[in-house]
Amino acid sequence: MLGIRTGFGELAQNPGQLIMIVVGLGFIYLAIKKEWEPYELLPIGAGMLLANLPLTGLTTPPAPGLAPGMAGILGIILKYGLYTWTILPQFIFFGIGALTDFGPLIANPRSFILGAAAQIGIYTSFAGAIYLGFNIKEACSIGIIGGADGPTTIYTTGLLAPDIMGITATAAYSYMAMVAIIQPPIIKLLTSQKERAIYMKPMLRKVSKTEKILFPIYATIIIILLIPKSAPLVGLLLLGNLFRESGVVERLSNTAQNELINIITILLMLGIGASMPADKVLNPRTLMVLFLGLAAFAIGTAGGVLLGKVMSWLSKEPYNPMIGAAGVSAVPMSARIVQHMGQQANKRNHLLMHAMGPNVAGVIGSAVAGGYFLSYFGKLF
Amino acid sequence: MWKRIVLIAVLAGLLALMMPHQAWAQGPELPDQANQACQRLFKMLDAGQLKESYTLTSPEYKKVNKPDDWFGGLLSERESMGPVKARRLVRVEKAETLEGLPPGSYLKVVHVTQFERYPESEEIVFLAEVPGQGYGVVKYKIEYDRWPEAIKIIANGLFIVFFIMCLLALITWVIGKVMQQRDAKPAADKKG
Repeated sequence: MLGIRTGFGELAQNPGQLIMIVVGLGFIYLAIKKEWEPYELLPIGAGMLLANLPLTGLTTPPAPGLAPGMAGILGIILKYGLYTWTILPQFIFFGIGALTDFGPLIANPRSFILGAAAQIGIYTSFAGAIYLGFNIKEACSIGIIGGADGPTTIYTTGLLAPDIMGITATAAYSYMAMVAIIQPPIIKLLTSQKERAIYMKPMLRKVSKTEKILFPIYATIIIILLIPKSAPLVGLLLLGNLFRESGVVERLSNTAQNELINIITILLMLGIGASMPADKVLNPRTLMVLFLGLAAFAIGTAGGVLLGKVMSWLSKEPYNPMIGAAGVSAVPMSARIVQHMGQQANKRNHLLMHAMGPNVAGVIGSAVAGGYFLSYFGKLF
Repeated sequence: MWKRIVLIAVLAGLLALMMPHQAWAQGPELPDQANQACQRLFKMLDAGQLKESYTLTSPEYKKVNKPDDWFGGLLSERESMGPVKARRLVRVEKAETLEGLPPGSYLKVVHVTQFERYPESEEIVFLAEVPGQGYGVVKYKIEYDRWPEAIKIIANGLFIVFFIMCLLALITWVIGKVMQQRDAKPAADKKG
């Protein structure tokens, strides 16, 4: 009647697309109404919605021989931003580096070890994925969700198992949004009221500017020399941090912290949403990925808390073991949870700065874990 | 009497072990056209033409599945296996149902394949007869024991994460001490 083909008939034939549209709308709702990671979940939901509306051509990737103007904007973002060049997650890391203050970590280097302990979830879920029949590259990508680090998950999955990138990235961001639901029961299960109430002096030692400038330099050199394939993540993270701490490139640092990271977030999250067409997502494997990701997150939290308990036992000064839970790199949500629970147990407690140390160490830890996976398969690229 | 029986059994066993493996493993029956379909697929996969191998799938398969469904999982898995060093047909079975495809008469062809990274793997090809055109591929999968490599990745991965983080902790602690001492000196001089 209109002389054109509308999407209604197509939608009726592919109910999967309709389901994904509803899921996309659900994400938009959670972002707006509940304010769950809105900067990530809103564009992801919008990307899902746009990618699953039929006949739009928005996800058509550019290809040789394709007529001009026929490639869709989401297809272009996916191809160049995520699948072929994978530049978007790297630039996000650059922005995160510029935003991160490593001071609490430098002031209390023990936090590095808590940041490592929280990566145990990655390897546990990796084993779970192998048990459930995923191939090794897919298992690496699923495990890395446990790092609670979106860009690392996206970058690693984009290179190792691009087919499940959309779902692993969404799982990582969704679980980060649900830190307040996932972590407290695990912390409570593994610590007593007495342990949670352990008082720690709120102030850490003052870290000098020289230390803050030196840190990204030696950390970059050491990590990249040991795991060269972690360079795209660790290198850009610490470069962004060097911009911040040097104090001489304020405009560049501000750009990285604001305009650049905002633009990249829009492109990256739209791309993630668009990488979830119904035919790729609606299958039993997706449920398995979601379950394994949740397990990774939970085990990572448990690993951090258990090592926190060991440190509490070894430490001469009072040491609250809950701090270990912040080792999963959901910055700064995990640290805030520890602060909140610490105050619930003992009103005098201000654990935020203590928890920020393992929290930012977790960012480095998950990037190292992702870099190791990439290095392992490195000769194949 | 018993001694003789045991002796004969031992000798027979030894003889069986000494015989070439191929000689006592009866070659399974595989129709020529089905074998050709398998070989065409292997040739493409071995040459790295994973996406192109979709052209060998049967029309029935193409009706239900897009190219992405064919090479999506295959790409990441097959690439990580490394080149093929040897391949041997071991089994042919008939199957009537296959996940994601309508019930029909399918042929399951199993080869033991020695990939560079996974020397003990099985390549399983499912074929469907296409009237007048021989056989078309409907499914391809590789089965191998993933655990030895997985355990290696877990052990090495955990070690490297802890090693790097401990090293960074140590260096940061040393630099912190040096800086604190350096800053403390002028303060003490001032007081003095």
